[in-house]
Amino acid sequence: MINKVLICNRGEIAVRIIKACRECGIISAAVYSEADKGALHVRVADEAYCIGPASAKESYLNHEVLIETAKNIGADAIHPGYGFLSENSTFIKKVEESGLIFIGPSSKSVLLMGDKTAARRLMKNSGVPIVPGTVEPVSSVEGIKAVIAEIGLPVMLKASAGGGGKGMRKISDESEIDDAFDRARNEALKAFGNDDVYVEKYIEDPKHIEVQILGDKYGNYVHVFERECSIQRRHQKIIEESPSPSINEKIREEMTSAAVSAAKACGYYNAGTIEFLYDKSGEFYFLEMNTRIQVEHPVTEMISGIDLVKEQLRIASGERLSVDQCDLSISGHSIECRVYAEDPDNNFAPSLGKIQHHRLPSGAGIRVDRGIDFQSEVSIYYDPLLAKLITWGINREEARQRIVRAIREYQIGGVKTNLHFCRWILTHSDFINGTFDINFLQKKSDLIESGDWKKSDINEFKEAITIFGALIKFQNEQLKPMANECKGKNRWRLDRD
Amino acid sequence: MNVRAKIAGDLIVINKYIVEIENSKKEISVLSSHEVELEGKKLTVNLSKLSDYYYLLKIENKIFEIIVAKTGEDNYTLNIEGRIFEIGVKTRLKDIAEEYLKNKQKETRQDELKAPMPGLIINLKKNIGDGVVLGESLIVLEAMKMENDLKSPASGIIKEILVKKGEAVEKNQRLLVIE
Repeated sequence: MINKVLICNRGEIAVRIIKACRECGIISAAVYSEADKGALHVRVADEAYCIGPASAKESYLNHEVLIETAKNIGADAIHPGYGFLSENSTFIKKVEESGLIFIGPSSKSVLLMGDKTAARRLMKNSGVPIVPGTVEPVSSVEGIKAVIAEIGLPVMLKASAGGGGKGMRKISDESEIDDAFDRARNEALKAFGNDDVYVEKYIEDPKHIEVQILGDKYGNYVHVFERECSIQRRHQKIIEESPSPSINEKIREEMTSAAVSAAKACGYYNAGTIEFLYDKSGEFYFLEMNTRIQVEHPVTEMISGIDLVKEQLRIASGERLSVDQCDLSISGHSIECRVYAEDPDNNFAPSLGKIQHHRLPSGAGIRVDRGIDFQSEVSIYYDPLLAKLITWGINREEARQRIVRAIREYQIGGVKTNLHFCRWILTHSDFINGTFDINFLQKKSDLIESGDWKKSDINEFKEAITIFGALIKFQNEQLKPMANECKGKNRWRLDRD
Repeated sequence: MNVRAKIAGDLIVINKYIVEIENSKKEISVLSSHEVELEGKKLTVNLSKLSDYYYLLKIENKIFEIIVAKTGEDNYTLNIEGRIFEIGVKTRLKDIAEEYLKNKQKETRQDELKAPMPGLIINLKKNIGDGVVLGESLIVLEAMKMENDLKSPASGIIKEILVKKGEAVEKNQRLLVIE
């Protein structure tokens, strides 16, 4: 049994894990960098340990300090969250060797699935359909050209050690190969410390559908249905939902059983996700396996009633899965949008600052997983994900209307977020009708870059905005002369202010 | 300019403001703290400040909660009912003065490339004296682990490069000048 967990992460996922630990009666110990002193995950944990300077390399990515901290404080397990070290097999191996429990899969599974080319080989051999392309890394521009001659353009270059859209480049024309190869390798090296890239056929306008699986250490597996995550910007998911509005029961059956086969093939235990591309002709292809808890896991929890992080804790403690496949069913529909501190009106640049106002939406069917609170600092050092807004509805339309309502209620002041952009997507006819694919936002880029997507909003609120602008200026100017009048009279009072 | 008149002991300010919303300007008169005139219509209004970032606006009988996401000297980023707007507010006098200055400056025009976000300069693709065309990629800026192409805001010749490869830059920092 696990008694104390060191949570080697920050932000909303660290907070999420603390909640699961608390319900299981496990002591939660947070770690934080010097930039995160006041962060929410530090405020809500049972214990908190500073592990180094702001730079993630010296803090949240520092293997030795994290393992040493876990040992020193008497933790029996490490939860890596997502990102950071969650899929770093070297780190996981060190954790295993130190005698601590890693709350995730074995380093062996992670190593296998983290090497995207090895994973492709394994899937191919296990009968799981893969996207046409190489099952070995390519080492030269000539090598890429040879693959293109075979499978045709366009193709994608992807980092072998990759994920999350980093180190990915599309090649539509031979002239782009040099630059794409350089860039992909550069980004891959920076993000993953490994510059291997491989080539995959570019699937035209697919949907991104993924299957949540759970496996215990006794070879029992279940899937917890699928999530549709097609709304992406530069390969980063923004809106996710479960179930997928795009597949029927037959495809669901095929996809989920392919996912379970994939998990079995690598001897997987813990929570994991098998990502598929689903093309227009109704075929699906294995994209990659994420060997960690996913950002978008709450939508699965909402429709299944399963607490995936608690299942992770159970599995890691050596318990059996709490459910059989026949216990699981889809109830209603859930939608999530990711609240990023970024500015859709300025090319999605990060918006930094202190949270000066924070009011959460509430009411039936609403959940917010967040890493921020009043006075939290949003800094350049880390991912700009502030929170996730999740709703549940009896059907897709109710969940959608509810999340639009919740966006109206969710008030954040001090930094700018993308919530109004999410709202635009969620009220777009393509989203309402389910007629979107992973290039939805790219196809709308003219509308987005010109700012025209906001036009109807501006017309709706023009009067209120204009009046607000004039009144706030008016009020501020009325305050000024009063301050002047005080000058010289009660100096000591002013000085004290 | 503020025009103030004292009527029956109350300080009444007759004042005109220019509110700029996403590149379109609107003129509005504030007749008193409870009355404005917009497009020939007089409206009863009330603005309550609940905190520096949270206001309640009443226009006739309609209520708006307004969150200030970001603020500058004359600029506000507002959140109203889940929608976000950038506005700029000036007195009409200031607006007239600025328009005049802008027209003056146009005669000797230079374009600058500014950093759209804080980040790290990964690559400078051009040297001083190079010709560039509108939309050409000039600089690669890394922010939040993503590489971003910064494109030329104009066609012309690079006159100055103000940053070095590997340098960290702030948002809106001038990066290079094109003539």
